[in-house]
Amino acid sequence: MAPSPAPVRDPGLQPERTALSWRRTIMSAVVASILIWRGWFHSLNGGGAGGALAAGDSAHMVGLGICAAIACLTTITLVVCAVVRIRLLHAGVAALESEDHLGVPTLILRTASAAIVALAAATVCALVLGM
Amino acid sequence: MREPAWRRTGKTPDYRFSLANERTFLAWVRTALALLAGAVAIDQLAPEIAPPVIRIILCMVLAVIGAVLAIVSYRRWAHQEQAMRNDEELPHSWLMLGMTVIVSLAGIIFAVLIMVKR
Repeated sequence: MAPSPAPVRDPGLQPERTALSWRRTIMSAVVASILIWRGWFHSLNGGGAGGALAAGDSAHMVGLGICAAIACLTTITLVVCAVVRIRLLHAGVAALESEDHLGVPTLILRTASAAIVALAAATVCALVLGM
Repeated sequence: MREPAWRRTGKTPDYRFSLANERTFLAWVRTALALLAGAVAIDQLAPEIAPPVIRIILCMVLAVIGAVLAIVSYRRWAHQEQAMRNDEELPHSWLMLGMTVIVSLAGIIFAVLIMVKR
């Protein structure tokens, strides 16, 4: 009896499920980020409608703009993490089982966690500035 | 960045268990992101839900819990991975109970705020 060929993919679709999980995570990050952007645009329109801008208003706008930029950067970071990880997952089951492959997730997951902490910091700042 | 030392101990677990652990981490991360999105959404879309100071404090608590959850979920992932490498029992975690209590509390608080508002 001939030995069965080495599997190219996992019968339980584990890598695919993990890749989809990363994609869902990106979507969640985009939603959170868009809401912070909405707050910034809102401050721009709200300030512009009243005519003359008070000094405090423009400071709020700059602050909220920085929060929006941080939110954007953290989302991009998460997308990069996901893209790198999904590429590794799609390299095949043999690559997943190899020993030299194991170092990668730690850095990716750490970066993802750090990005979310940064996004949370941006959220807290946006909440305070939005008052 | 240097690999943590525990990545060199024990044996490499079955990649399927590792991937399941990673998906659990991602699920917690999405919970954290949902808390962040919820905090901003309540602040922006429901400004009348409570007096400004209370609203900001509630939203900030949600956002801080989101940040803590992101760190805890990484730590949990690392501990589970270590246990799998060394063939130990998976560590017990208060994360599930804690998040159940937090989410129920948030639900009750916002339900009360909505009812009081009417």
